[in-house]
Amino acid sequence: MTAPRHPNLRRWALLAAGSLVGFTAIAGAMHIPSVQHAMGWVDASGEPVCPFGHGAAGPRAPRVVDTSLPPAGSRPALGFALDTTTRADLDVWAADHGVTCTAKPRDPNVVSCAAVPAAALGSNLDATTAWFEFGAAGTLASIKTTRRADTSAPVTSEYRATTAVVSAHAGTPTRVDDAHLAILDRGAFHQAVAEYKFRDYRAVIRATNMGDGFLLTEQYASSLQ
Amino acid sequence: MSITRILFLCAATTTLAGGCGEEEPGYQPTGKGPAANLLCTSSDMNAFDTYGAEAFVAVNEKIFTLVTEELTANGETNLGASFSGVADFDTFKGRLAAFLVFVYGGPDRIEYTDGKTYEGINQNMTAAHTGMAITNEQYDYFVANVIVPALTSSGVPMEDVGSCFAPPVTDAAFKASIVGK
Repeated sequence: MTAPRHPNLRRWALLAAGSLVGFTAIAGAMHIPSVQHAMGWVDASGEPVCPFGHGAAGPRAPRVVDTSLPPAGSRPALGFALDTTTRADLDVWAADHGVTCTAKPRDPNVVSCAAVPAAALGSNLDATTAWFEFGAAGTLASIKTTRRADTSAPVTSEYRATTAVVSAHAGTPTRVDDAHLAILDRGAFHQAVAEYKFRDYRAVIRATNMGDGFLLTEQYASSLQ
Repeated sequence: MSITRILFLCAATTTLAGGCGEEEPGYQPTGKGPAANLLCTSSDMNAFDTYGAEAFVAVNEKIFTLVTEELTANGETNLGASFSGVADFDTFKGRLAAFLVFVYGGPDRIEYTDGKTYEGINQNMTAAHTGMAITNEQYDYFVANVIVPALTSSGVPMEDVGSCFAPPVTDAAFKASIVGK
């Protein structure tokens, strides 16, 4: 019987291989959704997440300010002030209007507010969801909303009122395609859109026939962050 | 056979088969996807046979352009995790294009612009979206701000958007395979 030529080397190799297999098994198990649920590694929506933060949202890409565009007259955003409103301001607004807002654990700069009453946004149509995004400085970078109605009338009325406000305060829209506004009822995906682009402000308002109802979506964003 | 009887038979044949003269073969869709028999107002053919592969590539590319703009500006705020966690965007593009082509009445599989072949048939939407917890509002936002603009800006007239593109997207069962999984 011959003794191994490098007993220590072989022992270390086995140890390293065993460690690698063990680490891989543990890391793999930590990414199984049922294990993540069991350990409570879920975000606000119940979605399983990596406990080490892998896959978490990274910082948003910086905007490029288009200096060829004129600045907006003012920047209407449903009563909020872009680049000024803070998360604390939003919490006060939510408490005042009985709105429930939730920040994403993996991206605390993004806050979703559900079932926002129309009065809280100074409008006539309840918002099914409003998303608020805060920039690195902690101030409001953008607001998006979706609002639904069973018939076209509330959506077209709100579309007209909203675009009138934005046009009056910010300036002339870059693009208006609302030939279908009067005939939204004609079929699914008929859509009217008004788009505004300024050096410091962007807004897009759409009224859409969704087939099973009518949808108004709004986007208001600062171009400065 | 009397003239009257001949005229009657001709009228009956006209009603049932489309004419007494040379019978035109009926329209045969290229594929067998769920919307293969959904006809566009402009052509009385399905969406794939009306617009062809190049138009589907154009719409698919536009979808990804708009999605990239959303992700760049807003993260996954409005779209859910459908796109933000994708490691291989090129494969995802090819798979989505193949799926769209199949659904709208094209062939079961296509060769995409990267030269690879992708299968549209047998893609399981429920499995593909499980764990993403996409909400109704995110689905609505995606349809209104990505799908509809991708179609209209690619030159599809509104009548066809409504008649032969919208129904599969607004179908309750299809939506249920994506939302809340």
